[in-house]
Amino acid sequence: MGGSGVAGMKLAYWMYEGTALSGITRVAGSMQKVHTVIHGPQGDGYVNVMYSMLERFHTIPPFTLSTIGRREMAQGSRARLVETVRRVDAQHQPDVIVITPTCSSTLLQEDLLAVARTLGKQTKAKLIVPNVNAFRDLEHRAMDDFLTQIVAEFATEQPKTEQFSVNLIGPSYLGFHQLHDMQEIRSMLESLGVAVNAVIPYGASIKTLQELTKAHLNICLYHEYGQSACELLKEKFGIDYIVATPIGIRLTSQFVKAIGERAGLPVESYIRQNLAPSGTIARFTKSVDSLSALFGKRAVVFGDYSHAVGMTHLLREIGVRVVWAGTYMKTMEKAFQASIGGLADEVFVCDDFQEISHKIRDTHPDIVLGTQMERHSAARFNFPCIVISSPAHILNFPLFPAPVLGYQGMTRMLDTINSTIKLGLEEHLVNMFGEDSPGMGEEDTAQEQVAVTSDMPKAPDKTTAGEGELKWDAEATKALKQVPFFVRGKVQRNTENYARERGYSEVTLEVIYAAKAYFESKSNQGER
Amino acid sequence: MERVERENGCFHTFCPIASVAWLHRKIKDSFFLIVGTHTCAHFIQTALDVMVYAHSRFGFAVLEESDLVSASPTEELGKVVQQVVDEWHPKVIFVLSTCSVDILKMDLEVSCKDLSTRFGFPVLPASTSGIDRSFTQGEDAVLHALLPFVPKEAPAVEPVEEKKPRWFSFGKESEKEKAEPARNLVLIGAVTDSTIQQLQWELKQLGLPKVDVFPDGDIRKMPVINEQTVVVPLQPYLNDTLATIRRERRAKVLSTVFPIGPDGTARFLEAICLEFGLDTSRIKEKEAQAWRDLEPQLQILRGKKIMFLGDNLLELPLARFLTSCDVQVVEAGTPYIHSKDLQQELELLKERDVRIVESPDFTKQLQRMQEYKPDLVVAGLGICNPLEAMGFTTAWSIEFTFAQIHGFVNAIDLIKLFTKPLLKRQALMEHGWAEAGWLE
Ligand code: SF4
Repeated sequence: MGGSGVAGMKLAYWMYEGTALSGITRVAGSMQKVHTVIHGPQGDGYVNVMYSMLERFHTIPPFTLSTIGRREMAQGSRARLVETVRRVDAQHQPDVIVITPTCSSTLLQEDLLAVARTLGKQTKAKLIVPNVNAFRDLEHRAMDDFLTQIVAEFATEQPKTEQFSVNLIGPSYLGFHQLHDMQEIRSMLESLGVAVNAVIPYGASIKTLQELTKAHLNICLYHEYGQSACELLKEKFGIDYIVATPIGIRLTSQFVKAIGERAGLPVESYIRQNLAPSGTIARFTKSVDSLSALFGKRAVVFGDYSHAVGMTHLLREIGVRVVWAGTYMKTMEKAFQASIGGLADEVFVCDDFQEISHKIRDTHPDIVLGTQMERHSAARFNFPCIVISSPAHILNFPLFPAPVLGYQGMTRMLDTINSTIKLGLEEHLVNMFGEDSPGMGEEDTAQEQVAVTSDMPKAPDKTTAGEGELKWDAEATKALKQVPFFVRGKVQRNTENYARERGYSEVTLEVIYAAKAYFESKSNQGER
Repeated sequence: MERVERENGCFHTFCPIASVAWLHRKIKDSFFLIVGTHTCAHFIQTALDVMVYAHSRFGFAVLEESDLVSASPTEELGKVVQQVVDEWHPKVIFVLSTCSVDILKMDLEVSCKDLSTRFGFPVLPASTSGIDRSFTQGEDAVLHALLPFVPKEAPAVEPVEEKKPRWFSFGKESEKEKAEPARNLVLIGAVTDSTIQQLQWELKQLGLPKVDVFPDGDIRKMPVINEQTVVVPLQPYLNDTLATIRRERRAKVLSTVFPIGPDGTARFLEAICLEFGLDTSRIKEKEAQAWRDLEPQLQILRGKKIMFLGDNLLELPLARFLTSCDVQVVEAGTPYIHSKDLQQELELLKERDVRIVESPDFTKQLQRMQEYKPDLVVAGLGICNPLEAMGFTTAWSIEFTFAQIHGFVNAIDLIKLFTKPLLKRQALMEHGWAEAGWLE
């Protein structure tokens, strides 16, 4: 985890970023004829599970463990490593064998480079040892470093393609919808008349790396990694690059324009066409229904850098208010603040799952856009949620084309938001007439009673004034019961906070109405 | 014929810390704190995310670089434990060690002792490092850590509220009037409450009304184990726990097969009845009935070839059960074999000429698979999908760990774990997949 380096052990429940090992295997595992030997304990073979389960791999993932067991701890692990690398070389005949360290091998201070140096003369495959600190580095950092390392290793000067062409840097296995994004960007570029010279690391071979320099422009699709490789290609081979994750209207426009400018192609009509009144995006956004369904709704956004920035833009473009936007990419704090600018009421960086969870609880958003972990938190507090960033879940590896980037990505997001957030008319009716409950008999009332109590905070909320429970008189209780159950908790909390702040000892109808007036005027201000 | 081969190879299994998945649910008011690196946390997240809520009673004390050089982990660990206490108020914390703890030779035992005193409740170290243990052995480590809470003596009178927490004082009360020494039976293994209930019911019908189980979900209610106790393991991987019980409690550990499948359950019940001098004649009929109930499933299995690649250490009892179903077990791969605790299972498997491979080499297994052409392969989560693509039918080994497979009543659930993949394949073939060609 980032942070000071002075502090010791840190309590963590879940991790937002994977390890250096997962970063390296994401790069190497996405490539062709590249096999990875993992130097670690038996349990570290779990990377296989990710490929097998999440990507539904139909071949045995290209990872072989060189096991560190008791014996290797006592007698050294070099013999086993040498044997494993030789075996992999003979059996799989890859072009490259990546010998990757793990936390454990790093702590054992095994010198993998020395092993590679001696062995390299005997193996057919080229041996590469990633230049990372497996103990300290996180997934994206390791991906960035390792991509740069292999690009530096293999890229050679080549004549440029005749037609303007680009390289797409970023798409890889286990990324968040990245392979869907890749297809979308490809078809976008095709519409613009721009050729794709190469994609790395997904599907890349050594030849692909060698021929990267044929392209006129590098497009780094995700801010988390890949930029260093672009920088290297610029310095060594003079290839210009852009770093952009085109999510929503504005970022996609910028992206398309940046490419058009370099390619000397007109792009305005492409943009216009996608935003035309006849297009899905405009029809949805301008639809009178989304005035009540979306406009002024309160969203919170949390994710990696690229997706949190992109989604914040997108939400504003359809009229949703972003109460806060956060990222766990601690190393990118400044850039994050700058890119979100005034789009969210609050912008922050944090990698503590619990803290985010509490923040969601306290914010009471209409919708949460977060990672798989925020999905858990949102479910716990009963808020609608969409997963928009890694860490992801099997559900984020859909079979049907599901890009996040470009206009298609936006269309898909709109569908997802539409099916997740409470719809406008429905909400109106519920607010006016209460939940639909066929035949409100004794039993229903009893159930409803249960709903009321289970919705209420069990104990006085410690975060508020905390002077014990407020009494609700009969009329006020009745009014509270008329509030739809899914917002009842929120109304109760707001009213009680309001009452406490103003020194009421009991909640009456008067207090409820005053609180309602107060909160509604407040929320209207925020919307503008 | 010697049928156990050792390949010292690399196979696909989970790390033992994964056992928190079921243990944190089994032991009430507990918290499992895994002291390890980012890798351990990422592994658990990846492996268990699908099954476990984000807000569970386990977490990680992630080692930072300063921890690598610090003289004692007690202070830093103490801060983390404090946070856990504030949030969860656990009655017991298990501190699980990992590879990095092993490599750094961190002494968590001493730290835990200090922290137990400081916090006034047990903070127990358990060795679950992936260096020398595999998947399910995490349970052995945690049960082993719980042994000090297993009283040596039954409380003399009905439990009176004690001033000191019980766990500080057991064993020091020997001057109190002792209950009459009677032999008690303790079953060992973290199985579900419903499995326990079923086994207790079977034994009650056979004349044994009081059957204790270790671990109890409540740390203050662990059963008595001493030289009067007959201990019978429910899981085949509790070797350290059993060894300590033999050595320190001088209890009798019954050597029997495991109560998995009707055959195993019958042998298991017979062994217990014989030990307690009870009539065993009714067991035969119960077993026969259990087999009759399985008949439709047995018809699917008979004559099939099944191979275990080795993952969860349940392989030998499962293979033995399958041979009783007239399945040809072409290979029983398993990470590790404790020849003493598995003696009876080993003998049966040898009689039935099953090839057993300890610590198998996956690459070699792939080759053997081509020769055997098994109808079903039981494999770890990481390789099932590729094997399916190669045309094999697979069952996830992890399902056997998470399903209830002990006793007569559960036998149907157990056998279905084997028949379901076969039925699925058949169903797909009947409904369009024959056209794909490769499934044949
Ligand atoms: S304990 Fe060892 S094998 Fe298990 S996850 Fe941690 S480092 Fe990997």
